[in-house]
Amino acid sequence: MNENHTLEHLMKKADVRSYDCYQCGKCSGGCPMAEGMDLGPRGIMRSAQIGALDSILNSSTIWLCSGCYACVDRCPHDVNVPAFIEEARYEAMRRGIVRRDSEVLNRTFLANIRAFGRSHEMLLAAFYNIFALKPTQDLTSLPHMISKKLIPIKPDPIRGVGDVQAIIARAERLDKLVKEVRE
Amino acid sequence: MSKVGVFVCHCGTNIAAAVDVVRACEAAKSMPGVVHAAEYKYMCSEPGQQMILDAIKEYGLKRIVIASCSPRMHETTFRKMLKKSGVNEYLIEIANIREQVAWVHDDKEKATEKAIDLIRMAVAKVCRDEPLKSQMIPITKRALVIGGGIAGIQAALDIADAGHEVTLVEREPSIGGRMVMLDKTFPTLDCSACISTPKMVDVSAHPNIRLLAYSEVAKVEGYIGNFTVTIRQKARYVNHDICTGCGACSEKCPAKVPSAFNKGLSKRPAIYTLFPQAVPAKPVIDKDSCIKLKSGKCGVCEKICPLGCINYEDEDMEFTEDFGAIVTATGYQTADWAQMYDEYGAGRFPDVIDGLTFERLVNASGPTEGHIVRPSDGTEPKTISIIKCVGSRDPKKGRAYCSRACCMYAAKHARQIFGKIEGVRVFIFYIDVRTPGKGYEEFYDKTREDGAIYVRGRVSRIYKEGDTLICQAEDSLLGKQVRVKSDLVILETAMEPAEGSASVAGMLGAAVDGDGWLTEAHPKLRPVETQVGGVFLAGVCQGPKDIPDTVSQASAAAAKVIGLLNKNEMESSPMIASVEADKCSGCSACEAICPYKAITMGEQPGREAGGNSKKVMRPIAVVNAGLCQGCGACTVACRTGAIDLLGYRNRQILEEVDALWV
Repeated sequence: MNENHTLEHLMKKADVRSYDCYQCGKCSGGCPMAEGMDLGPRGIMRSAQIGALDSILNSSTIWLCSGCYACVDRCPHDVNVPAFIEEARYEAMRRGIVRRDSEVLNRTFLANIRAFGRSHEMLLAAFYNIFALKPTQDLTSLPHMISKKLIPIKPDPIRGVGDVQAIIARAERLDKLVKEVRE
Repeated sequence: MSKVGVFVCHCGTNIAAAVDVVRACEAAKSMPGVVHAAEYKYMCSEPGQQMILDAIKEYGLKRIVIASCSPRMHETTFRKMLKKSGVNEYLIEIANIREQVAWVHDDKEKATEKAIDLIRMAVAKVCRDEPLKSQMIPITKRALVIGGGIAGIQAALDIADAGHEVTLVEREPSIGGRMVMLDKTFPTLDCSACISTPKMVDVSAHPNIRLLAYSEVAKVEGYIGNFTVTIRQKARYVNHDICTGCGACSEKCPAKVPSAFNKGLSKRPAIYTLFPQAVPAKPVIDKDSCIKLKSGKCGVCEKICPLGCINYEDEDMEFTEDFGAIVTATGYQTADWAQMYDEYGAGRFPDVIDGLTFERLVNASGPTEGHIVRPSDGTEPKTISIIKCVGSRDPKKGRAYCSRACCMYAAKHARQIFGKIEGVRVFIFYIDVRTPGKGYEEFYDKTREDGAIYVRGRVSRIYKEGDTLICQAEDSLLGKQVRVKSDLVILETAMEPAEGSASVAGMLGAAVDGDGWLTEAHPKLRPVETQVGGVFLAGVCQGPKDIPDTVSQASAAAAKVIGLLNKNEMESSPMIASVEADKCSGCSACEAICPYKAITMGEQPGREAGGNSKKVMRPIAVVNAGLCQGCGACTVACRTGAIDLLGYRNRQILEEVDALWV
């Protein structure tokens, strides 16, 4: 394997040392996303300690991390877990390990932005539920959200949707270029 | 040329396996000044030493080189041997061919060459060695103990029992320290006050102990055996010679301030004793809260005192005393968690308290008479969470170390809670449970049996929901987040050096480590001594420890003090700095660099610089033989080369270096 894609290299890039972590769990204890995660930030560090890169790259944790940095703020050893998670995401993408629902969300989200210049939550949820094959997910909260006006029904596109589309197109061109250069 | 004898040791096979000892010995024979060389299996053994003594007689040897192990190992052995032979014991050099040759090299040929070089250097130096004589310094047979906690109390009692006079200085109005604040002690759950107050009374009644409470050490001068210490007796405003401690003044005093002893859970008057069993049991006036001293109005205590003890004109008083030895027992304080832990509420929630506050809460002589209640509303908590390692094991908050006592302290708190509240639930959040002590693991077992629920995970945050506090953490053994609704949260906070311990260390010249703990001379083999001769350590000032360890260490420090004070005088090392008066320019660079405060500026007659050459007194560096440790820093700082280290004069060292290039 290319040495640029080893666990050690990813940790070095994130400036994270697995031996700094003594598994106290203060990170996972306060993580706002912990309930949906499989490993949680402490589990990510534990996997790193035993060299289990595969389980990190295949975990839901790396995709659910919101990057709020509460874990880093509270960590007694200042271990920057989100920075490492960020590197793990790149590596997972490179290896083509992308969870179907994350992929669907990303695509739906981008299509949404292309169309309106900003995210329309109702359509985002609807398309996500359809393509992720989870048609009933969160359906019960819909009436409440609509009646309290927490979610708009009508899309509200921004002015200059074309500009946003141009930005996305440019980013995609750059991304393609980078990929070609790397290969 | 001097008659030098060289003796090369095999050290069994330790040296002989890596160095050709016989060849090295032969080579030594042709070195300048050498009249005799021999090798032997164990030079340090009885027959080995006899062999050297015989050779000294037979060949009339005047100087000796021994090629063997490190001088740290056997230099003293051979010096003692030389003393018997009549040769000055400082006319000896050790060539270290074990640690610096045999143990670090594989190539026998090259190792032998290096050994020969080292021997040649030692021979060159020994020819330049001069006979030195150690001085005898007298010893003042009195000891000073700084700090009146359990460590200071124990050390003072042990030294006094051995027949030496002790002065015990305590800055609070009473001795007792942290231990008397505790309710019970692990692992036996005996009452802390019941076992410590008899010792406090012993201190006040002991004929050999002079107790100076409400006093501080202001200045320390001198050296081992001969310290002169300035002690400041803080103004008490109460004449303790006639006060009987009746307590009438405290009862009537109208001023009320939060009691630090009760961790702010209750108030105390301005004229107060720390606690009912205080020693001395006589009050002092806290000048910062006394209405009379602040505004001139009041004077109630003066009117009420039947014996006329009150004196508002009292002032701080300083006096000096001489001591031969000093024991530092300045102890600890608990870390101010509210300054560090925003995620635990930073002190905004009154029902999040630290362990020492809980001790006052659960103590029968405390503000609630031992009823565990929530400080916020006075109700009895039904669920209590205990959080360990608050401030400890947390490098980001500045303390990487483990405070050692908190694991047991937390278990003890759980047991105390179970004993007082029917049907209570106790959760203990931990990272590791550390119980390395006699009966400690069994205590932990019993705590779980009693019903304490241990949750492995550091609490990430505490927040409030209505009236209850939520401790949010990960149960890391399950890998799941947990939220524990708690009525009361106890934080087992870190120990840190007591405020002012750094300044005491500074006065003594003793070193402190990065966390502020006083540093022992050797972590294993000299645990109660400091690098400063005559200054010893007892208790937590050296590092976190529990009561059993503190008392053991205090007795150990006392044993060292007794050993020192039992001598009438002691030998000082002659290998110290020496000033050549004519060369000294009086610049005082050496005074500034000396880490032991051993150099002062004296005066000697001389002539003024410039044309008129008037006779004047000019400054000159003077070395105190008792304080100088022979480190040599001054010899480097001296710009005129006036200071030399006896035994390591510059020309001796240079001779040694030159010998390498012949």
